[in-house]
Order: sequence, then structure tokens, then C-alpha cells
Amino acid sequence: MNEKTQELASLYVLDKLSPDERCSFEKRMETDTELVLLLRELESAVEDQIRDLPQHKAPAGLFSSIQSQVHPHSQEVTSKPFITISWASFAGWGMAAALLLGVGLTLLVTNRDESMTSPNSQPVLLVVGMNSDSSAFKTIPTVISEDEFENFVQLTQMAENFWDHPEQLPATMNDSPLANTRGSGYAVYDPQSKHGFIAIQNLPKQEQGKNYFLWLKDPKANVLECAGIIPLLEKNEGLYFFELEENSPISSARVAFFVTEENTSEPKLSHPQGELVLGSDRI
Amino acid sequence: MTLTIQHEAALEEACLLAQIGVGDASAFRQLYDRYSTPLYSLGLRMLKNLSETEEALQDTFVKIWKNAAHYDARKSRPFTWAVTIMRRTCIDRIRKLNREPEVTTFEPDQDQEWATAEVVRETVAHNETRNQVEEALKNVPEKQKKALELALFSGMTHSEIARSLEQPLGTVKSWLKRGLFQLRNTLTETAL
Repeated sequence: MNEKTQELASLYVLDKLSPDERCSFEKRMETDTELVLLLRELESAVEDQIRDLPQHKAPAGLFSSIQSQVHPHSQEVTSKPFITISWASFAGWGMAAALLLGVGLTLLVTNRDESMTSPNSQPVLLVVGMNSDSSAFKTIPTVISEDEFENFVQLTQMAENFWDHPEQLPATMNDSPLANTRGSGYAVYDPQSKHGFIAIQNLPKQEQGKNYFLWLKDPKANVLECAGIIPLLEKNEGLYFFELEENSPISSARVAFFVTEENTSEPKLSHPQGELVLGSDRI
Repeated sequence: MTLTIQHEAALEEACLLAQIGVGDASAFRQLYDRYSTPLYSLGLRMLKNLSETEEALQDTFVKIWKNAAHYDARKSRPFTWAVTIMRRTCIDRIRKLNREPEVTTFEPDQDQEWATAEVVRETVAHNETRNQVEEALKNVPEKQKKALELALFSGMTHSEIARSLEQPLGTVKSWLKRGLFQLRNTLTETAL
């Protein structure tokens, strides 16, 4: 990396670039992983400088005042068995972190190879392909690290990798005439951490007042759990992260995933009532 | 503080921002608990006024709430993103007040009016970070350190910094780069 790029990186981190320079630099970041890693390190150094200042606590009551300004649009979530959030908010983070930690695609590829030879070994990651009339499952033996973050990075990489390279999805779908009439998708799920990703593509546009809901079914325990609304906003595709709470009744390594279209905005339902759009509740 | 711990915190904060982006007020509270103290301290350093800093922090968190859905981790770490919002808010206030950005130094807080703000009991982790930063700063040449301090805490543009230090713009850019790289090199070595 040349001096000029390093200088631009420093000015970017210090927020000293003009809007045009900033925009052009950010375009370059999209394709230059080495540059992104350098930026993360420089940002970390700046953050340490700021945390090095004498620390003063903000006045008591300030949060209430802030809350009163944002309250009309906020909702206090007291019981949240899942979170379902758009991966776009931190897409690419997994890859950058993986490079820093020295884990990455190599590990993923190794795991996928192992799945061909030792299908019953544990622990596993679950990959579920979904289309408009069925699901396909594949368990992938994996290496669990003591560091939960490394496990998370591995899962994120897998989810991102299938998004970029859908042809590598190991759960092969059928190709019936109905298969992709209402979109397609996949889920990647780690039964140990209960973290997962759901990816959807080409879903029909939501009608006013309707929402797509993600469901998980544990056939072994015969329990069903609603993961909540997939926050599609104006899009018909996306990659979303979800996380089950530790006491979730979903406990098996093999879980069915499916998406329904419901005529409600309630964040959590006990049973699906609407139309099945993607996947199946059967394994 | 190890790299892994830093990354875990950053990832958790990216998750919080994503949740805030879909209207989760409890995630907003959690992020406030994590960021309010360092951002308020940064504001005090820049504005040197309690009520101005309080208002700047309030504006900053309202902006965080409104813009969390647009946070993009490819562009910056979550805390850096929040710091940028706070710094820009403070700079706007400095300019609205028609105050010249001040040439500040890292002097102790005593004798400052704003030092009456409640000082947070420093944790072991904070002390550790602080020692590391102080050690790292010792390796940064004085001119570079000065340029870096002005860039971070004065609200000056790099052209203003160049004028203030009576140096060509190119020299100041080079000092900023060298100072920041030196800091990053030392801190990375310490973390490893």
C-alpha cells in the first residue's frame, strides 16, 4: 500500500476528507480488503485515544430527555425470543473480522469436505434450502472454538458465502415447476449458539398490512417458535440475522424453517395462520 | 484488552445499531449506556462547556436513533461512527457560536469549569487502555502528536491545522498519517 493511500486512510479515519474524497475512498474500500483491515486498526487507535480522555459521566436524566424526543417512534421490547435484523447493517464485518482472527473460508471449505465423509459427526451447522414448495437439509460437521466470536465469524462467513455463491449451497432443492414461483431462500443455523441467518430472494411484494414471518419447528420436541417479522421494508430480498434465547424450546440440531405471510403486525405469533410462502415444517 | 475482545464489543454494538434501526428502544438504552460517557467526555474536551456538551450529546443520540438503520459496518466501526456524529455535532456548535476552534493540549482537567462534571470511577480495563495509550503516545514525535490532538479535539479542518501550526498542508497531512500509524503500530503490538 503506497504512502498516498495510507495518508488518505488516516484522513478518512480522522474525518478530514471532503465529501467527494470520502465518497471516492469508500468506493475503493468496497474492493480492497487490505485497506478495510488497515482502517479498522487505525479506527481502533483513535477510539483508544478518545477513551483515554478523563471520563465524565453524562448528567442523570439526559437519557429521559433523549427518549422523549425519539419516543413517538420507539417500542420497548421486553420479551424478545429472537432478534431478526437486516444483515446489511453489518455485512462484510464477518469477513474483515475473520481475516483479523485468522479463521475463514479455508475452515468453511474444510468443513464442507468433512461433511462428505463423516455425516454423523458432531457438532454441526445446519443449512436449509427453501423454495416455494419444499425444503432441503444438510448438516455440516464443524469445529467449535472455545471463542464464541470465532464461531460466530464462521457462521457469518458461511451465510455471506452462500449469498454471494448460491451455487455452493449444499442443500440441493428440487426443480419442480412450482419450486421458485414465490421466491427462494436458505437458512444457516448453529444449534450450539442458537444463532442463525435467513436469506430470502424474490418474495412477492408484501400487501399493505401484511408481513412475512419466520418460523422454526423442532420436530423432535414437536415445538414451534415464531422468530418474528422479517423486516423487509421496501425490498423483496435480504440476509437477516436471528438469535434464539438460551431457554428457547427449540433444542434439536435439526430444525425446520419456513416463512409465512400473515395479515398482522403483531411481532410474535403463537401459531401460523397465514399462507406458507417458503420452505416446509417437515424435515 | 485483546483484539478479540475489541471485536466482540464492536460486533455486539453493530447488532445493537441494527436493532435500533428497526425501532428497538431497549437496544438504544444499551448503546447509550456504552457510549454516553466517552462521547460526553469527548464533547467536554471539544466544547469546554457543560450545557453545550449536554445538548450536543442529546443531538448526537437523536441522530444515532434516526440513522442507525443506515449504519454500514464496511465503512466504520460502530463506536467510530458514533464518535464522528458527536464530533460533527460539536464542530457545528463551535461554528454557530462563532468560536474559533481552540488549540488545545492534553492538560489535566483540574481548574477547568467543565471538570466539575462527575468523573467516572475508572475501571481496571479503562486504566489498562489508558496506560497503553499513554505509552503509545510517548513514541509519537511531538509535532505529530500536536497535529493529531488538533485533528481529533479542536474541530479544525486540516487546512486550519496547517495554518495554526504554520506548516504547509502537505506536511500536516504527513504528520497526521505518521502520528496515527505510530499510535496504531504501538497499540497493536501491545494488544498482541
